[in-house]
Amino acid sequence: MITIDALVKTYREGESEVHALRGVSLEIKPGEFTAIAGPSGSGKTTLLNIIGLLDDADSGKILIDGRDIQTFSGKERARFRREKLGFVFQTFNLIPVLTAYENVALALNLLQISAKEIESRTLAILHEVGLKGAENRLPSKLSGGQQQRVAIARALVKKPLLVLADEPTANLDSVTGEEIMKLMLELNKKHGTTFIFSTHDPMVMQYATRLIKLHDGLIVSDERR
Amino acid sequence: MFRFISQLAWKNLMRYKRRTLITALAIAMGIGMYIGVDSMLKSAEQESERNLHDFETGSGVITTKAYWDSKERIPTSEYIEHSNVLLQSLSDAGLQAAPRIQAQGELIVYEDPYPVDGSMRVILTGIDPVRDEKVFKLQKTLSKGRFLKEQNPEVILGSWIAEKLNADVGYPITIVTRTVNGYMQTIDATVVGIIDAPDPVINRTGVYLPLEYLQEMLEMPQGATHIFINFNMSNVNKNEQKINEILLNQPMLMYHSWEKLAEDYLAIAGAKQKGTSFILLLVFIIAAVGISNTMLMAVYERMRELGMLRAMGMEDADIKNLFFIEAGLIGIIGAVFGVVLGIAFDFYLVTYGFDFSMFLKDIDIGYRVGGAFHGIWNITTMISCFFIGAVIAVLVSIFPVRRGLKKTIVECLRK
Repeated sequence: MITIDALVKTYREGESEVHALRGVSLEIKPGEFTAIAGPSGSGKTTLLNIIGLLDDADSGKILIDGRDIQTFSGKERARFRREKLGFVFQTFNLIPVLTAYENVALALNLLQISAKEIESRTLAILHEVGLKGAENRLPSKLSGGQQQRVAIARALVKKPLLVLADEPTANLDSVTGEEIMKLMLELNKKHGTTFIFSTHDPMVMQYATRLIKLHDGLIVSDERR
Repeated sequence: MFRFISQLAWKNLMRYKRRTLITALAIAMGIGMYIGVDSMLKSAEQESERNLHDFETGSGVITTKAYWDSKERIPTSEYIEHSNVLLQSLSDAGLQAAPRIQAQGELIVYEDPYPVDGSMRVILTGIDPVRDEKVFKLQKTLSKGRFLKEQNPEVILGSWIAEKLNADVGYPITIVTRTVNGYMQTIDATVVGIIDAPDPVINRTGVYLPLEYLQEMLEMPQGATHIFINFNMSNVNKNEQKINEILLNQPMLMYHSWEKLAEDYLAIAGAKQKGTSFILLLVFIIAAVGISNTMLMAVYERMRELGMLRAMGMEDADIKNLFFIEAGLIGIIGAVFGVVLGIAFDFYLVTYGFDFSMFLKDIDIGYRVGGAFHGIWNITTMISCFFIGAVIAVLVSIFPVRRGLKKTIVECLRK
């Protein structure tokens, strides 16, 4: 489903250059629950950003579902993200003025589907992530774990091809983090949605069915479990 | 989508209630002030034009060309001879006309009954007590005593000049002037009336004598420096044509519209309007900077949110619309408050007004408004201010929103 070939990305930081990715190549199959692991600065967030069409590579090729995403125009990229990709961030990034329900429905509002379908799909996914009864709460009235559940629901409600999660448990305590990982794995198995998540937490890595380790912008190991 | 964006915009505004309110109040102050000042100026203009027409210019005037060419020095010697003939022609053409003489003079008062001896330079106006009423409303503003009678050595004074001299009805007054032949002439007259006109110029400078008496004193029998005309202003061209036809055989005479007579006033009023517009423009700029700043803060504070929306696939056009709607809503809230404020301001002006008469007694500000400055209800201004407020709010938000959208999604999410 995802084919990455010799991906290179270099940032300029003042006078110096930071080689975030130095020729990364890999393939990810549909339904995989893949962890990109590595220490800070290893390039895992950069790799996720490029796969998520949030950033551009300097060179190399990346195909998602057979399409070369680097040839997309700005509008095509936005449309691809809207329809095919779900994002989960470590800081949750919920819209503070919207309730849990509204935050999830936002993803469907962008797809311009019927109000009835938005309602049924939003309520179903919120119940699935364990937020029955919390639909009308604002993010400020939810715990960190609940907020991340809303973010996961928002990523999954549109039935995406791929969910990208950048250190999804980094802002959570270990118990809540483990609950979130169990939930993500459960949803991956149930819906068959492909998940790619970055982490440097061994607990999170143990949930991955495939573990790719990055170091200094290069893949140092790729293990299927 | 638009409905969803509008709801989100409204929720965002409610999230920062205090900031929204402060920005809206800045717009409201600008709009409220504009409506109030505009109302006062328009009312002052209307009242000034009415007073000019009723007390100073009529619809227009006939003078000799020589008089008009050097009118600033009031050349009484360049008068219209046989003014009665011209008056008859005008009357035959169905036009109301009144002759007047204007001459320079010195008004002298002596201790007892006046508190002290004194003198001042004035412009004497000779009026025909009967005909003058057909053009001007001077008689109706008599506040004390009686109006002038033909051929009597008597004077009526404007209320402020009378107050300044401590003059009252029955008091003697001496006027020194020159005849058209250049000889000194002294007139001993009695104050028979005091007028309190809505036109401050009349109250401040008005010294009126009977026309016939002044003709005799100035050695200009049947002469007049001016023949003022009054006609229906809805038919200006037709009436002016009639006047010009009458003047065809009298090449020494010339007709001038009220606008030419009131050139000084119109210039001052125009300059004041421009000055006030400039001040109001500054007020609007301050309000606009306030909105721009609010939107800049909104964009920067919500940069991560903005990045998230873009990551989710919301297009830049929709994000721009989100912020424009927010700005527009601030503008509309401000405009609503502003119009309400303007209505309250207008209500006070229309009902009570601001009384500047204490200052106007000694200072000529150009406007012919004697007492309180009132306002008028101007619905067009209110409606246009409402829309301008909303539109300005959207326009000034363009820059900060574009600036925010220039950042990449990754940069936005890193904030």
